[in-house]
Amino acid sequence: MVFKQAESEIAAINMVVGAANSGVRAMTATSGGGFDLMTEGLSLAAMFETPLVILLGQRPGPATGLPTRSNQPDLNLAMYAGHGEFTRVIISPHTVQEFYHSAIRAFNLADILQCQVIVMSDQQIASSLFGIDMDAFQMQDTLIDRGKLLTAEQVDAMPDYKRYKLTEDGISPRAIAGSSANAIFLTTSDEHDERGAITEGAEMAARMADKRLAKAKVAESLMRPPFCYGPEEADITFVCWGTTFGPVVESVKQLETQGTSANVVCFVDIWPFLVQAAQHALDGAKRLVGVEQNKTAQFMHLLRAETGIEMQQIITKYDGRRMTPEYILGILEVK
Amino acid sequence: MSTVQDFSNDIRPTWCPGCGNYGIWNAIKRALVAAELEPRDVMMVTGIGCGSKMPNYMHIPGLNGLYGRTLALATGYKLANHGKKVITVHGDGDGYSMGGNHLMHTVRRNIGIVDIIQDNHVYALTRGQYSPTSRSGWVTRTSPEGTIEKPLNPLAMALTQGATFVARSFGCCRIGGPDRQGAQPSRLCADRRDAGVCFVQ
Amino acid sequence: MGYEWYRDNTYQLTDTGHDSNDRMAAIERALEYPGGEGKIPLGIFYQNNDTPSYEEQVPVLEAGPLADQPLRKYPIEKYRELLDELF
Repeated sequence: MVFKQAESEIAAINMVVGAANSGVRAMTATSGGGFDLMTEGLSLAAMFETPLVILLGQRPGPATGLPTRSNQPDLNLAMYAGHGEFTRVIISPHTVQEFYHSAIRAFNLADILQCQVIVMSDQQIASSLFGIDMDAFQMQDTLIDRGKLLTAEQVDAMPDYKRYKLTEDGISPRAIAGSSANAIFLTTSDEHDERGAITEGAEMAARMADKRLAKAKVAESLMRPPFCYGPEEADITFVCWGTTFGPVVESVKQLETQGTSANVVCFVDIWPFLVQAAQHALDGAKRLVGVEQNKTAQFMHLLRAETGIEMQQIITKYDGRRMTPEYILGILEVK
Repeated sequence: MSTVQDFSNDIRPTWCPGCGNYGIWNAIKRALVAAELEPRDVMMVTGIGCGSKMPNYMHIPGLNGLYGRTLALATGYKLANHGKKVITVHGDGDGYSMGGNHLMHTVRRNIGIVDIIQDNHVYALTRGQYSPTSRSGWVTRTSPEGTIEKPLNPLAMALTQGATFVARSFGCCRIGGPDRQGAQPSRLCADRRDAGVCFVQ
Repeated sequence: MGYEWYRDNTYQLTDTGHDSNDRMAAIERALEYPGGEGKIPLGIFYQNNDTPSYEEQVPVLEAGPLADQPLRKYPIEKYRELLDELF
């Protein structure tokens, strides 16, 4: 592994795009303002169809905000960052173990889909220390899946190789430029044809746009549904995403001791959004309570936009301090 | 042994007749042949501008990235695959204006990149606004009374920041090949081993 | 400013006995344009082959380009060794 501290986040995102185009796996990590600077590079990576992993550690904004504190205010930013339309994957792990496994999975997803994967974290978990048994990490089960990446030998047998070949699933067999005499091609930020040459053609432009977005279907098939913690039937169903899971679980446990049954539906895989899986998980819930750490309930809006499902109560916290079970239970309306 | 033809494709450049880019284009091809490099040994990284379309007009692996980010893209590539000869080709707007910060850091890092700046002192693709190297008083669309700013001195900047190879040529000269006076060849065609950054205006 | 202008307003550093190993002399030459009144110097201002490049100083790259190094699982025993070393 090569680690490089770049002169700026703009340099960092371009460096990882450059590195990934040599065939290595590459990632960068940042938080709000740094991620803002990277957005142009995300758009570039999408046009290049370069596999990439970006860790976004959230903290309260706007601007410098509360730079050493924690929040979940950047879901909308992660979803919409970068000009143009393209496929990306967003996952937001809920525990330290899940972050470990998500890092491996994120690289696999990036390679399979030849797209960018944003892993969302926050300041709280990024600067916390946990004591966890090493066996919790199942390192022996690690799988490396590089998708349609071609070896030099495979490309040697492909005299008519096209880096951006139009395929049904939008994913082209990927040769590394310069790996073979058959793999001499341009990777350009301009619209391009199947060989990678710059084009202004209307038909090709539309087909390439279709290709870049067709990958979302494949991505959907690789996304996991939200998981449920607690009893199947409960009076209160909390809905959360990412690291808010911790204090919500504590709330469920405390409610149980008080004689109120509650459970949690937690979303780790955020985007592409699995509409049916979300509907299935929340179907029949008696009272839905959304919990997240931002002012405008960004995830609950996404959930409603995609499924029509509305929360009966939304609990938000946006003062830069960690969500706590005391805070949740203090304003929870039990009916 | 490669030939100039090995680095050529059949796409015609959109450059204006008489443009200096033709000279730079031919000089790079000749230098690559002189260095006994095959297309697959090279990575040409460019930015945005007329000249940055160069790898589209060559049979060469290329990364044609974003305006100003050429050197950052190339740095990432070089760190991941330093066995390749990495050549960046970009204009004065890309290199000094948007990418000025990256230029400074690339130079002081001494990373093995041959950086060729096509410096025509003007933003030509967007039809004539002043650039960081336009001389004071230059009348352009965005400076109808003449520019007020003093031009950047990129060579002096590169030298003071520790560049280990600094040269200037102009589009009608050969870059990199033994020059007209028969001086020693530049690193562009010296050998496959990069000894560090090579800055050519 | 076309070809003729550059032909008439430039000169080759090699014609003046410039020593391209002399950094201070190179800076003086660089300040001739822009900034000076005379012709524009062309050629090699400075070269120094003794300074190691960035990539030559990255230990992991001594084994060859990263792109050529195989991507493989880090053996689990190595993690245990690391753990024993730390605690």
